[in-house]
Amino acid sequence: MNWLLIGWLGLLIATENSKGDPALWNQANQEFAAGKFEQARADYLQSVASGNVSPELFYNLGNTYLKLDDKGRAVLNFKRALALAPGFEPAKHNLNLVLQAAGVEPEEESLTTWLAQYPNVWMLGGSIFFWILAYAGYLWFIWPRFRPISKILLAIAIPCAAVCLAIVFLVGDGVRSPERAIVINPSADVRYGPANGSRVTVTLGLGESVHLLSERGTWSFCRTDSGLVGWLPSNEIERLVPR
Amino acid sequence: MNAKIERKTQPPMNADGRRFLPRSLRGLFCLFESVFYLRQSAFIGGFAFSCVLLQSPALGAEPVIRANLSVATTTMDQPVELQIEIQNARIIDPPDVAADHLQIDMAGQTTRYQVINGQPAFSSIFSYLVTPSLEGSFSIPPVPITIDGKTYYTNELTLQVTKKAPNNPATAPDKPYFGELVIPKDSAFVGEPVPVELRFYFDRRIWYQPYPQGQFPIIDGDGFVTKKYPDPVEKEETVNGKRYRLLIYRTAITGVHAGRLELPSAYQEFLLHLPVTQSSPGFDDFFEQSPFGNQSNAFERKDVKVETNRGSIEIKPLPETGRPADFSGGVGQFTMESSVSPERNKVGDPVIFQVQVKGLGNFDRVQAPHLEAMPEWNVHSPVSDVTPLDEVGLSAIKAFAYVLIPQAPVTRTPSVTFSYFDPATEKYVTLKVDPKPVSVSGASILSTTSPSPLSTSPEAAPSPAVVTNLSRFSASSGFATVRQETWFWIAQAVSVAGLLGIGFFQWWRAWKTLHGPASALRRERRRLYRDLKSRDDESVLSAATRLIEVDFLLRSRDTSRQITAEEAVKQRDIPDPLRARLLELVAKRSDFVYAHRFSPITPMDRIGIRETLREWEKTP
Repeated sequence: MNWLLIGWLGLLIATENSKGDPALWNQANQEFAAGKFEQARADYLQSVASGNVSPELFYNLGNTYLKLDDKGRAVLNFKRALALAPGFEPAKHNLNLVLQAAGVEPEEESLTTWLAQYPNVWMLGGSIFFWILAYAGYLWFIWPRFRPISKILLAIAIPCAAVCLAIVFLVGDGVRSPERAIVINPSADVRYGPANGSRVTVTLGLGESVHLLSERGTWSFCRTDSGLVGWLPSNEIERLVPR
Repeated sequence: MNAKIERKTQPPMNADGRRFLPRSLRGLFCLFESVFYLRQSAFIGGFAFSCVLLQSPALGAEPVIRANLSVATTTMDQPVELQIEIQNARIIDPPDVAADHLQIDMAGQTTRYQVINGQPAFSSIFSYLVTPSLEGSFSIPPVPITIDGKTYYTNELTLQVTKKAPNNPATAPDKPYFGELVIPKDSAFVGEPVPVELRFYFDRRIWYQPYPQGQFPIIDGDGFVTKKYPDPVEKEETVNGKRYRLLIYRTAITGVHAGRLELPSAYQEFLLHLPVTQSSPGFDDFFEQSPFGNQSNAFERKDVKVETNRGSIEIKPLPETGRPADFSGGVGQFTMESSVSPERNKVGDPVIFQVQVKGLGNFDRVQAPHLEAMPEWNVHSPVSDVTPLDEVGLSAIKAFAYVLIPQAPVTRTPSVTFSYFDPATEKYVTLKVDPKPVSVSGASILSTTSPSPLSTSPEAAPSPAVVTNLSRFSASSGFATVRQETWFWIAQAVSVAGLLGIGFFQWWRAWKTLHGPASALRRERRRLYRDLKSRDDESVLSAATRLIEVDFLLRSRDTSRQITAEEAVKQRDIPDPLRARLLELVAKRSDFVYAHRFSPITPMDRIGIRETLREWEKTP
């Protein structure tokens, strides 16, 4: 009974912690409503720095940047909100609006993009089905009388585990990858070398994502979604996962 | 919708789109255009050829009439050439051309026959010499030309006439090359782009090239900005009776503050190939030599810096009176149109409202037009795009694309206003475009102060939440993936441990099944050895007999079989004395248990029993 009480208290504390600082949150919202966007941005960023993040926090921060006419960071924060909650309609809506206003065609959602939105689902699913497979296979060998049940479990677990683990291999951490970055300038030239005079490989538009491979000074070596690699000025991109 | 601005009715002329140009700049526009039409030097004659022309199908096509001046700006008493070109029609009598303060004399007539894309094209070109006698801006009105009973008109032309500048090189062309800066106006307003020409004259026998190649002229000085240079134009011109090859750079300057703007000499470097005469090398006496005699084929290369004359222009401030509140700095002549797409929409879905500002002026200063404030529309900052309509960029279309989000059902777009300063009338003009009809349906969201983004019903879906922040804060584990969570790896460890535990349990059970009887026998042997120390003689004898059996079973492969001590002693290969002692021990115990013949066991007997059993256990 005592252990149950301690567990319940621990859960309560954890839930309270995840709500962040309500005073700071309300203050930032009031500043936004009053048109004090600079202050609201500072308070929202403070909330982000505290580590208590939520889709709503990034959504509100994106709106604030939009009011400050910083479309790049508005797009970045709407994408952060969607990375936390892929089905978050307000963020989707505003992201499309900003991209449209910036003259960027919103990217079509491919199967890979959709899969990359749910990295935890595939990892958890793969893990669960893998262990079901392992236990059912073990049962098959050691307890022959359980073989009919083992057969059913194996028939379900083998394909599900294979699919989930293949997706994990394909998308990795997906949109939550710490190496994923977003272009925050209206356009960014990917160059062959880390120099302004170097030849341009491809030009990326606002909101396009790249995978960071390494950094050298003020330049970042990255791979685009189309597979091209090159150098980008580090100030033209920002990591999707805030540090 | 077109802007509400009244314009004077123009006489019919060719639909070349220059009607929107201000009167003062039309001449320059014609000058630009003349590049494409001045190749009239090909003279085609002959009776037989005329016969072909008479049968040409081109004569059945709609006549095209053009008029242009060789230059748009000249000085007093410096004649310019006027050409009237009539295509697809035969005119024998030259049209009568007259204009105030300009002496216009017929200079000649040429005809031209061309085959373009397999189609014959015939044109007549009438040349006139136009000599100004006064300084100022003069208009050559549209010239009526009657063809087959139908009257056509040429376009109106404007000639700017300036004073003869004392340092104007064009008036003293004694050099084989020189430069000239042509400014068509004496005054302009702050922000008003003024087209200028930089002309570089070269004797026809000089080969020249800008050096370095692609270099454009430089106009030093401050207080003005210049537009980009298009590629220069080459032509030929006669100055004071001498033919020159002419390289013309066109650009525009814009004064940035009021006051007298002094333009220093513009300059450009050229690489020249000068012909070398035998009698006197160099070009100092170049013009003194006959062009046909005494010349060799040798050329001398020379890098020269060719400078133009200086210039000045009065920059006037924009008037304070009558300045509209939304005036953002646009100076020129503009029109405005708008369009909306899609025209039918739902509340919350964005529409693109495009406003085009078109005309001639400083498009870099033209800011986004002002949209009427309507609560039904949520307006976002527009994106602009400029499409130049001429090579310098004075004439252009600047398009502003607004994203409008309807917040409620609405039937029209906002009206648009745009203010600029018209330097021709020296007044501010405000253009207004009437609203466009649209059809926006759906439930209004204007009264929704805190939309619930968690609602899944499409009606209550958060639509234009771009201006409404959310007040709720849902719990989130952050960006960490499950791979970065400790509980995930604990769960994996528990799963592995469970699998290993089951395996260990299975192994333990199998081991126990295999080795369980032997273990029990070993435990029994330890207990029996303790019983040997008992005072009870029967217990001692029973323990000794059982020890014989246990030892035999422990050494055999089958620990579970039943065997008697006597059989065990007989089956093992042991020395006979030991066998006899063991059998005696077994018999004594049988007598004691079954025949109740008791013979007491002395301590020495106990020692003997233990020694005998020890020997039994040591036997192989």
